[in-house]
Amino acid sequence: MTVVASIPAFVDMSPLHPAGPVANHINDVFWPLFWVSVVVTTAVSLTILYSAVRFRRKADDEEPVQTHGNNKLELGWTVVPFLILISLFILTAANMRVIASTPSNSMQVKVTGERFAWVFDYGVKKSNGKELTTVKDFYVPVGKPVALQVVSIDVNHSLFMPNIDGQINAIPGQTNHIWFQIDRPGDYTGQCTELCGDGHWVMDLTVHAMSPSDFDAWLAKQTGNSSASAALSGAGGQ
Amino acid sequence: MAVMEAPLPQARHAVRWDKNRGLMSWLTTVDHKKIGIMYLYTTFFFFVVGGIMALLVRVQLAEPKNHFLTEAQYNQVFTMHGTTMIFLWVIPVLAGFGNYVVPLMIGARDMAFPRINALSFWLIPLGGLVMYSGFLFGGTGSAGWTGYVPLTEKAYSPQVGQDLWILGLHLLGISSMLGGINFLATIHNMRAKGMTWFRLPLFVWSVEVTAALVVLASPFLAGALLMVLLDRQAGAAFFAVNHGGNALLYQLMFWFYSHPAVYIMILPAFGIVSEVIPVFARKPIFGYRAMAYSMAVIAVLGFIVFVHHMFTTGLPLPVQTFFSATSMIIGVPTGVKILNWTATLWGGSIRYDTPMLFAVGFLLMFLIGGVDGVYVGSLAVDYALHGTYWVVSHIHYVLFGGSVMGVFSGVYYWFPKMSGRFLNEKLGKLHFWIMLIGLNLAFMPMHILGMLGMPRRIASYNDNRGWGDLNSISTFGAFMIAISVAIFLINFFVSLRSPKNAPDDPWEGNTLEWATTSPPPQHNFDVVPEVRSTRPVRDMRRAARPVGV
Repeated sequence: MTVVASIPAFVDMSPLHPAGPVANHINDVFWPLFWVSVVVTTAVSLTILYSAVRFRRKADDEEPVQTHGNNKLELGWTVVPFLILISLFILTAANMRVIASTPSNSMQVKVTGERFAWVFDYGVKKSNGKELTTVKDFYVPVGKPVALQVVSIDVNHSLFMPNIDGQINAIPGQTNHIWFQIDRPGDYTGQCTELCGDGHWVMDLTVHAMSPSDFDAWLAKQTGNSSASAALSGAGGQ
Repeated sequence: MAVMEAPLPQARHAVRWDKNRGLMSWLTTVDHKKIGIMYLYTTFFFFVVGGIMALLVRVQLAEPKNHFLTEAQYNQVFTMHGTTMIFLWVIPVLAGFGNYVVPLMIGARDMAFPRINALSFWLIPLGGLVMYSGFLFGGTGSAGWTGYVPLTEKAYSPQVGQDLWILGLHLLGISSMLGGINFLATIHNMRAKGMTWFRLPLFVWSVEVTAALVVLASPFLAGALLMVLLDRQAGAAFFAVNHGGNALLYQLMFWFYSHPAVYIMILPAFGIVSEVIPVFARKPIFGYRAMAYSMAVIAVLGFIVFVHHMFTTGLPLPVQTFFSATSMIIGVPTGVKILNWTATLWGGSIRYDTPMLFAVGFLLMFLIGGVDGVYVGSLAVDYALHGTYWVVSHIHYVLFGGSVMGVFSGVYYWFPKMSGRFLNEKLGKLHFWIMLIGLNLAFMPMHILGMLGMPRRIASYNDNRGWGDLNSISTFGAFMIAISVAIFLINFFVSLRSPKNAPDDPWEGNTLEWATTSPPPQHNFDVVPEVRSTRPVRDMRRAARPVGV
């Protein structure tokens, strides 16, 4: 297939600009963690700096009071970080319930990492009887969960689609699973994040999120079959 | 009686001990102090080499679509940067301090096994040379310091340099393990009278815990590397999936070593800072027992957090969740340490010689490295930040902001003991400030690059990603670090030629190394003092003064 796409002037690969529910849940953990860490780092840094400056030695200073410790204080600053960290863990675990639960009506796509490209297999046949596959460009409908089976035929790769679902490794000999859904039409860029050789840095991909009708039209054109979308596994839920 | 003729060999012994000058005395020495100094020279050499590798990386990444290095060169250079800084710099430089300082601190004559100690040292330059010799044979290892299979299998990394990388790492692993056993034997058996476990200096505690980690964890790295070598050279198929092998197995074995190894790389720096801060604040360490216990807890927990490096490998959710929980909890003992160091400053009478500047710099920078690690311990957030520059930033705040600042604190602190001379304070302060600013310029932008989705280990990037400016700043910071290191080296060589001006106890120290001369005699102590507290040398100073002063 040939889509002559012009190279966009700016590609936003920030995982903090989510385009769907999985990425949203990642952000639901990131931002509380961010603010907690900003407050903690600032408070502790200021305490260190204050102590470091306030208690400078003056000329002829006597030996200061020899404090060896304070069990209550130390217990306090064991328990408080523990509670903060456990809260952050609970927040993580709660969001993982969604991130790790693939909806049953997902469209199934097999993704193969190979040096140095991503191949997407949609599980439908073209008019010539071959499987419909695309390389580096990945076409999905918006508003529809997509479940990926991720494999590799050579070395380890990592399918990193930061705006969409974070990432999952492609490891030879095993099939990894991840799902996502995109809520806004548009193009999203991903890239391999596991060193895979000289071409590692060019192993990127573009996810084209289309409206369901555009996607059906694209699929029909690719397969020569106007009802191809019904043949997609998981199509029943649309 | 003929048996009583024994004095002759003893006398010969004494003569040999006096021969402690000249090149041969260094090449053949089994004295822990000379070995310690050779550790420091060797590792600083590799620090400079690894730093040059880092500068090459930073020049390549300074702007998008740069062609300064080819992709193949880039992969070799960043692999050698990481491998050098971890296995030829941070781990052995801390072992070098351990070598020099531990026997002195516990009032021992030498390490328990002096010859093994010499062997541990000589394996380091050998391992480094083997690893770097790859450049002569068509390229070094190029699969990153983690050396994941299948990329390191022969089909994907055919160059002999990858085998040399494995062999070099093996030699360094043997060095580490021998050193670890030696430290354990020394600390367990050779403490001065009265030096109980809870009068042990915290630096010795840190070396004890580190040595235990080394001995328990390193065999797993050795095993994993041996399996890769057998796959490459002997047709084995431990990791070859088409022949019944398992590629993920390598990562499990590698990280079972390499997460504890992170603590091997930072605990002795904790130890150094725990010695420096009380001396320069003129107060005892706040919560001595908590500081000792927290290191032990970190060591134990350190073995059950390693899967957080593998959150994206498709392991079952319950496994990932367990390791996410442990990874969060290991932040607790680390937090306790930071707050106890801060409490040691509080109410103190702090003098800011260079060792103390680096110690306070360590506190502030390691705090950042500790906090930004929590992000990647959180399973959900790790999916977004794994494999990005966030991780690069995190490891550098821990290992540079933490370990390297700790190392320099130790260098300025113990240089008078080792050489009988002070390092120049003005140059030392200049070194500190340029390094502190440089490291933040180099590594803080990497946090933002991680949040912008820049993957690590990429040889270049397109100009439409918006990563160019931050990378330029980072490169600028890296060159500031290089300048600060150059200032240090000038300071070092100039100070070494200046007259001996350091007294035995220049900082009003607490621990036994300050009870002997600077530098110490070959036998360390004429009389080993009896230890009655965690601060024996302070006790001696007070005993020597009139009451009330």
